[in-house]
Amino acid sequence: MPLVTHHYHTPPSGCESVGKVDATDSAQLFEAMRGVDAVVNAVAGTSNVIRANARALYEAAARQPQPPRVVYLSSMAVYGAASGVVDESSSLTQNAGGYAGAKVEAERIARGYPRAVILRPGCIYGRGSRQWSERIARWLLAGRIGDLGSRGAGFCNLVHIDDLVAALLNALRQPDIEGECFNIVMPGSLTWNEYFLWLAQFHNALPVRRISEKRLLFEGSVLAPALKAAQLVARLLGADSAAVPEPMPPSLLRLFSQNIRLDGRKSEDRLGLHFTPLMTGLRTLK
Amino acid sequence: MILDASNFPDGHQLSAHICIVGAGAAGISLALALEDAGLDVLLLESGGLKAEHETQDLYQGTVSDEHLHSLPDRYRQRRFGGSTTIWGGRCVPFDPIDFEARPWIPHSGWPIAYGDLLPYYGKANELCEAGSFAYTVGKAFEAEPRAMIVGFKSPHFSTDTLERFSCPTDFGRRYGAYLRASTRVTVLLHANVTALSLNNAGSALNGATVSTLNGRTMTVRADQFVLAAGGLEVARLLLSNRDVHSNGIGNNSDLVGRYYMCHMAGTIGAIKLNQPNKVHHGYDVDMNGVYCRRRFALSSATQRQHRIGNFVARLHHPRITDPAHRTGLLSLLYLAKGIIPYEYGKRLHGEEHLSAQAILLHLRNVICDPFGTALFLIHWLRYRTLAKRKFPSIIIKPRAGLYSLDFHAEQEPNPNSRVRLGTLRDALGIQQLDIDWRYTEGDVLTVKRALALLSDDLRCSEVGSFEYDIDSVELEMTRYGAYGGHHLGTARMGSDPRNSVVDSNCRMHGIDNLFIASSAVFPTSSQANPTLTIVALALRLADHLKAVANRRQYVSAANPERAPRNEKASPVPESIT
Repeated sequence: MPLVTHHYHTPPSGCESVGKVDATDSAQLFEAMRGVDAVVNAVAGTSNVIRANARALYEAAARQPQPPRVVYLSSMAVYGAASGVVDESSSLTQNAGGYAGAKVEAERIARGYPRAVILRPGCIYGRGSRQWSERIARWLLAGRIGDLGSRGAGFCNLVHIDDLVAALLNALRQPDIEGECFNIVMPGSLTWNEYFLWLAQFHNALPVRRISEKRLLFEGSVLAPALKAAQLVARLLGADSAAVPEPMPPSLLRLFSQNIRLDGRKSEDRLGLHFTPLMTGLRTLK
Repeated sequence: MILDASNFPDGHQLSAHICIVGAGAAGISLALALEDAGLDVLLLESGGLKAEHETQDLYQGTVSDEHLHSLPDRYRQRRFGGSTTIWGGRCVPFDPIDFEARPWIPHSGWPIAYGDLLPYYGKANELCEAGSFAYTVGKAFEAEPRAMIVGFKSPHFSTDTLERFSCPTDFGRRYGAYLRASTRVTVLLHANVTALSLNNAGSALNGATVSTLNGRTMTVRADQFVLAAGGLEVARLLLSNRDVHSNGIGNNSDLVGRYYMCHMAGTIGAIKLNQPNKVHHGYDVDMNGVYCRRRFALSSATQRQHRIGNFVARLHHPRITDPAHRTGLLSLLYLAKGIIPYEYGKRLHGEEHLSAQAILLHLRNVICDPFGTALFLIHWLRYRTLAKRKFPSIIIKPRAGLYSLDFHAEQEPNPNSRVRLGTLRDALGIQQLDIDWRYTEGDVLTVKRALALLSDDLRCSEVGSFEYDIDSVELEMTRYGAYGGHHLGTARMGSDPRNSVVDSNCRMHGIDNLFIASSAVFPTSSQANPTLTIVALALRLADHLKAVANRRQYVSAANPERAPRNEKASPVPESIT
């Protein structure tokens, strides 16, 4: 099965690059997906890009002589500020802006395409996970994050990168799943505090520090905008913006305390997924 | 959600599957554990979100001997979070021997074993934010931390067991947001239970009357009631309700309020160690960042052999009040006693009044030890005042190389040590408590024998000496009276209604739907501080209540129309944010 990759990344072995494609341009997408059996849509970008991409991609796919299956990589962000156990039938966030709103809109468009399969992964950790493994490890080592008390008591809904890949492959191959959507998340009830502790163990960042609510408030309200501004200035000046410590946005801090537990049993039943235990997953970071 | 009963209309009726009275460590833990059970839980709390004098005064009462026991409104907090709002945070599980019937400890023996509680200790530790349930050096640390005293060997004591420290966690602040967001748990503040209504046969609780200090009265109906109001208030509630059972609820055998225990604690003697640099009496930090501390723990075998109770001890700084310690900081603590909260100050400086000469000597100590004092204050500011996980206590390397011994011992159950209703009434018309705490010769024997064994072991190990006045042991173990804040045994657990108040599931004998989640049910006191075990017992009770609910099939999934929370058509106040 041929896979499409963006031109400026080195394609993994077995994959073929088809050159640069504007993911919001229906005509270019139409050409890129000519003759393919399936499409995995993992386009990232601003909310405008996500929306425009969805519109263009399904239009292009529908115009194919043999419309391909499209596996759309959505996000748990579509559940917004929901709390409690959330399965695929739970209502999506309403009137949300930004990333979550764009993902909801993209899903709405995807559902208009009969051959779409929607995956809603949790927080993807493991080798190469910049957001949920590498960045958090840096924060742990810097003592900016640790035991957050009630602010870290939310469920972290992790999924290992290998499991997400397995989910994608199974979503491409499995019959009778078109039109369906799946939460992709490791079972259990791991909290962010627990994840931070395990991650700290693997990065020799022990003992974890207890971080006060005031400190987190300072991170989100004062430090985050200041660091974001510093990054922008660094970019404008042509300096290395990566040297600026990463901001901890308030939305992320809210997520750490959000009591949302994704129910991923449907993906185990229908996609045949077997999730990697946390300890095994963390070992891949070494 | 969190509501305020003061805003409810008079005569309002509430209902729930489970009504919990008291939002302290036990009540909040229980509510959290029931949150996902599909049950409507009503958590009644007398106080508000913050301390309020008028509410705290409802705890007032009398004591037979104020030298032996603090007044009942001390060491307790009547507010959301209960006494965890002033908790020191020491977490220690009971030992297996504590649950056994020991012939040499009268009235000892629980109807459950250590193994019955063990499955709940881990989660209890988590709720207390005391890290993992690892209470030995080997389990808590990958690399063994420094020995307490290098070279100390003892056939009687272990220095490998630990006490772990919570942040300390104020359960109200820590879990308030979670409960506020809950759709199944309703916390009702300023809701004082003033009456418990039994059916005519006295075999089941029909309801409870809730009163507020602003004059509102309402009723609560529930399938199950749980009293989680603390070791003293549970007895008060039971004894106050005498309309059906003339001696009070559950008191047919005249047991409620009896067997009242605290702990025997004190500071004694002088420990001189031969190699002061090979002593570590402070804290170690585990991977969770939790402070842990070794102590001398009397082995079960020694307790059996010497027929005494449980006992632990720690190396301690010299007595603060005596300026002979020549330590600036200790003198400063004495001089600053006016700003130290009563609950902590009492065992630091007692209520001793020193002569002018002694006060001058304390001043001299402060002036002559400026660096030691300053360094300590900086450490205290950084790791205690400003830290979220607080350094648990004052640790000082004594200048003169002399330590004292701080001990904490089991108090044996004694039917003559009791709380009962006094003659005065509180603002809601409920009789106040009168506390008559007593200790026994057996309690003195436990401390005396344990001290003698420790003294022998230090000498035989050739690590140092422990000198103390044998004749002063009883004086020292009662110098500050009963250990404050540990209120145990007033509604003891047992299998026989003739000598216990609740059964092994904490259900009151003879009353189908009344349970107790409190240290009131402890038949014996152990050496351990009670909070962790209170929480573990509450979690165990939660499992039992869920099982009962499943048997009766009234979980909402099966019967969704069950129990609207506010039965009477009246405006319901908005949730507190």
